[in-house]
Amino acid sequence: MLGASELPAAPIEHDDRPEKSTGGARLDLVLTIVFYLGALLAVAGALVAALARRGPARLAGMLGLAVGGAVALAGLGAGFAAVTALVCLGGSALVIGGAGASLPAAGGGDQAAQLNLGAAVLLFAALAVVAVGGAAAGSFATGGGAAGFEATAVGRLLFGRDALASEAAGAALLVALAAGAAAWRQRP
Amino acid sequence: MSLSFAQVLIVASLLLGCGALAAARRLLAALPSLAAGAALCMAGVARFAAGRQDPDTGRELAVLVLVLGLATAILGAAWARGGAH
Repeated sequence: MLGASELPAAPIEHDDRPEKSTGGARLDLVLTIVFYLGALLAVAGALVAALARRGPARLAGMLGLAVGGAVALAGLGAGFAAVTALVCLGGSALVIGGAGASLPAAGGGDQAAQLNLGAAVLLFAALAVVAVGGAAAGSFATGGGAAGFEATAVGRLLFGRDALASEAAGAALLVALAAGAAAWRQRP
Repeated sequence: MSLSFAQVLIVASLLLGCGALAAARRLLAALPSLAAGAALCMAGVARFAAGRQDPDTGRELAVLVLVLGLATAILGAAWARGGAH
C-alpha cells in the first residue's frame, strides 16, 4: 500500500537569483519619492484645512489633502485605495469644504477645546515615539509585491470574506446620503 | 533614501494630529484628515507587516475607512446644516 510517507517528494529548486535587482531598487526609490511628495501635499493641505479662516482656502486645503493622500497611498503600492481616497476625500471636500461648515457648539467652551488640543499634541508625541522607537519588519526591498492596482484581490476580500463589513459601510453611506438629502430639502 | 513603517506612521500621525486640531476648532474639515490618517496607517501596515499571509487586508480596511469617512462627512454636513437653521 502506498502511504503518504512513501509519496515521492518533489525536488527542491534553489533560487539563485539575486534578492534585489537594480530595477527593483529603482522602483523603490521612485515609490519612496512619490510617497514623500504625496505626504508633503497631504500634510500641508490638512494644515491649511485646519487653520484657514475662509471657505475657499479651506476647500483648496482639503482638495490638496485628497490628492496628496491618494498619491501617498499609491506610493505605498495601494492603487485601489488611492483611487478610493481620491473619490472619497475629494467628495468630502466638495461636501463640507466650500460652505465652510462647522459643527454647532456643544457646550464646554474654550477649555474643552484647549483640552482636546493638548490631548492631540500628546497623542502625536506618543505616536511619533512609538514609530521611531518601535521595530517593524520589512522594507520595500523585502516587503514583497510590486506596486500595483490590486482591485481584484481587494474586491475578493470586500465582497467575499468581509462582505458584512462592506455592507455595513455601504449602509452607512446610504444613511448618510439620505440624511444629507433630507437636510438639504429642509433648507428655506 | 528609504521608506519604512516609521516614516509612514509619522506621516499618518501628522494627518491625525491635523484632524484633531480641526476637531478641536469644531471644524468639519477634521473628518477627511482623520480618515486619511487612518487609511495611511492601514496601508502602511499592509505594506510593511512582518506576516505576509494576507497583505491585502490592510488595503481593504483602508478602503472601508475611507468610505466611512465620506459617510461621516456627509452626515456631519447635514447635521451642521440642520444646526445652522
